[in-house]
Amino acid sequence: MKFLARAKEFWDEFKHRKIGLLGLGILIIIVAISVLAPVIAPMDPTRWSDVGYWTNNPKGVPPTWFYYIQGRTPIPQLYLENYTVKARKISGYPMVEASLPINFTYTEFPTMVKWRINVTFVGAGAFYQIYVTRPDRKKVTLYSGTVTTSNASQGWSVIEIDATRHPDVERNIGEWLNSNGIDINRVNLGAPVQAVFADLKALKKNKPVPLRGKYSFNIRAIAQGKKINVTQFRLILGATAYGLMGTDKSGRDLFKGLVWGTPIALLIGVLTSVLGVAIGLLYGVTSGYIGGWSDEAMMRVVDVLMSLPKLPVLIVLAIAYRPTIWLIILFLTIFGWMGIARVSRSIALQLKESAFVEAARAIGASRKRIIVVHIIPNIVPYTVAALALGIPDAILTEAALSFLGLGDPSLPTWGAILNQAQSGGALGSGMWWWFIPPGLAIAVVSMAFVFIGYAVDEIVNPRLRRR
Amino acid sequence: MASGLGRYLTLRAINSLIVIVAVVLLTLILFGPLVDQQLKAQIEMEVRQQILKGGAFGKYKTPEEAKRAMQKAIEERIKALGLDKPWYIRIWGDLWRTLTFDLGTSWVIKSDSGSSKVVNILLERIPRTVLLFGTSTILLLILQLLIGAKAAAVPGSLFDRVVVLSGLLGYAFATWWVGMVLLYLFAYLIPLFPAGGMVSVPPPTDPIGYALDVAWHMFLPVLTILIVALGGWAYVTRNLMIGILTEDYITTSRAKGVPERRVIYYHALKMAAPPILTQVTLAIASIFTGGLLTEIVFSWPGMGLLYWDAILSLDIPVIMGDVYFTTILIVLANLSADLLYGIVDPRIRLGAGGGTL
Repeated sequence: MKFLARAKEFWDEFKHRKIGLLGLGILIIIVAISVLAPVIAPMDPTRWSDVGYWTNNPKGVPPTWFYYIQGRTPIPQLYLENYTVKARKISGYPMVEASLPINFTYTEFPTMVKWRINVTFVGAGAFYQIYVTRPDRKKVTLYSGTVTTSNASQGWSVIEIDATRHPDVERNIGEWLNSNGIDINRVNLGAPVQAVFADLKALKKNKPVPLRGKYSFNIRAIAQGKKINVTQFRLILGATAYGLMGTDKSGRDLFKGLVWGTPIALLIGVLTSVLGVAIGLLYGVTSGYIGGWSDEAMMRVVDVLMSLPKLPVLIVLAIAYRPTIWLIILFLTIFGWMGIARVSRSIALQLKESAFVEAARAIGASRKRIIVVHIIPNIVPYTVAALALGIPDAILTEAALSFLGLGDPSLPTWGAILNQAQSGGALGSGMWWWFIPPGLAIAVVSMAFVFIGYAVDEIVNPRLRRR
Repeated sequence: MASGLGRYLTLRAINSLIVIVAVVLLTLILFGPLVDQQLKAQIEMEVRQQILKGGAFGKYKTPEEAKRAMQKAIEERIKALGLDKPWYIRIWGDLWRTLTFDLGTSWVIKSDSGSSKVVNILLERIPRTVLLFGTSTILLLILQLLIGAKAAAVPGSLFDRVVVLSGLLGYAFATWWVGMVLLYLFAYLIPLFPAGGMVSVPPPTDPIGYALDVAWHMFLPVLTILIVALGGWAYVTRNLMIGILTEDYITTSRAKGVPERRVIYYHALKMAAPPILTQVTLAIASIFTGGLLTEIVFSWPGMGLLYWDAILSLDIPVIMGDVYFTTILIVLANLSADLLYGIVDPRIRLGAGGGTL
């Protein structure tokens, strides 16, 4: 009851502090995002570092809204798989022709061209070719390959090729452009494969513009045997913008990374700070209450730990242990309790001599009981501000560690995204959507706790109220 | 009367020594096995090459015999280096070698002059980091005193509120990220400053041109550190000054007709100096680490960028050397703040203080 009354009193003071309420407001939003993460951004967060999981996404494209505010319309991500098959014989060999039509009406080039085909046949092997027919009736061969099998009665082969930067495709396109009087090394295209969709007249003047109209992607396959068929033909054309936050160079949806970074940052911050405050409180109170020689020794330990250089030691620990998030929390806690220990000790020293503790001692209360019942509850209010301020500290330190590439490698932390942005050259290629939002997220979450801590500090330490 | 200061500084120096030894021991214990593994692999390779190259292979009749001879040679080498002894015995020798700056050779990274000695790599890097960090710290100290005192003179004003808010915001932003944003804005988007590095390529040949070129490269990283740290430092000074400005003797000085500027920038600031220095001591390590990470963003070729390179190539000896020197620099920075503090604070100078420091 007494505790409730005190909490109410505290809230009455707190609600008059605008900055504290602002912090609380931000905190509520952050907690909501954390809880709703599986709904807002459905993803298994441990798949974040699984590059194969993101391979079909466009790579390094800006957020969709960024396109619209510039008055441009992005190409959507296109998944095409409605193809028609025609079979015939050529000098006795079975041949199949699959074609996949596209009506290309966009004003920009796709950022990626990728196909996945499945050729099944009966025989010793098969040869296939992938080519495009264009609205201007030109034909471009993109790729040719052979499929062999040890099982002559039923051979099949699934072939997945990312043509965006494939050397064979590049060479074929180079030859095709050359036969049209264009040097591939002189055209200003994001990827050579984009030439497939280019207006050749404009390309000649080095002004890459897409040629609109009906295209068709085709597979022609011949088997050295009896039968052949194309059982899958799937074409992916990469979008020029993606989602709310764009993608990074591996095609990861940065919005998902940002959203999932929130609960992780909160977990690291809150757990580290709570553990640190609890350890510091117990340590400081024990030291101060016992006093004498052991107090001196315990405080010297605090002195040394306090002067340890945090980042270098964390770097060493992280390299030696390749840590999980739990180990990182533990490491951060090691550096997060000494401040509280000092404050708790000095308050415990004062309380030890106070009348009510003396009274408790007089009626025969044990040392443990006095610490737990009489001293700790009186220190707790002073630790609330430290608790709040310890959270941004832990979040920022973890971010620094992840920025160095030493965080938990399996999770999408904001620091890790910034590490990838730094090593992926996000700044040089102007991919602001890769490095601005994660840093802002770190700042906003930290800000919430700094504001709350500031307001609480003012209430609990009346000495500071003058300011 | 120097005994108070002497005792205080001795205590701090002992603490610093413990810190350095503790950090070195920790790195040795954690990295020892990795280094041993690498050394043994290297020995094995060398011995194998010696036997194969030296034509000695023909002298063995069977492959087993050759293998045994090789094993023996390897064991001899391991014994000669003392690698067969348990780690808790060898670690003291390693500790001594590290403390006396015998840091061994790197695995991958080389110094600009081509040396593989870890000490040489670091000796090249340290002045650059000290230059960047020293410039930032001196600017920080001066500016925060001016801004903090000004804010304290006009509490509650718009200026004061901006100082308080930027002080709070400083706790929330990652220095290195602010660096990324500034670099993007003022080197890539609006190319006013270089995109990184310490000097242009090729560097200017005349000394004045060189200094100006370095200053031009240093502008954004220093600005980054200032933007993030200045608010917090000024905020601390402001709080201390506000407390002091309500003291009786300040009122007395004012009543005596001492000019307000002199009251604030001389009388009050003098009293505020020791606690400000305490705060500086506490903050200096975090500014330093913030600076190390900022180096990475700006490709400033100092100790911070060395961490990045060494982590990428997992060059353990370089990481160990970098950690050692970072610790020394932080400890030295703290010690000099302690020294200043001891000189400025009369309680310590006269030997009255020194309780729990």
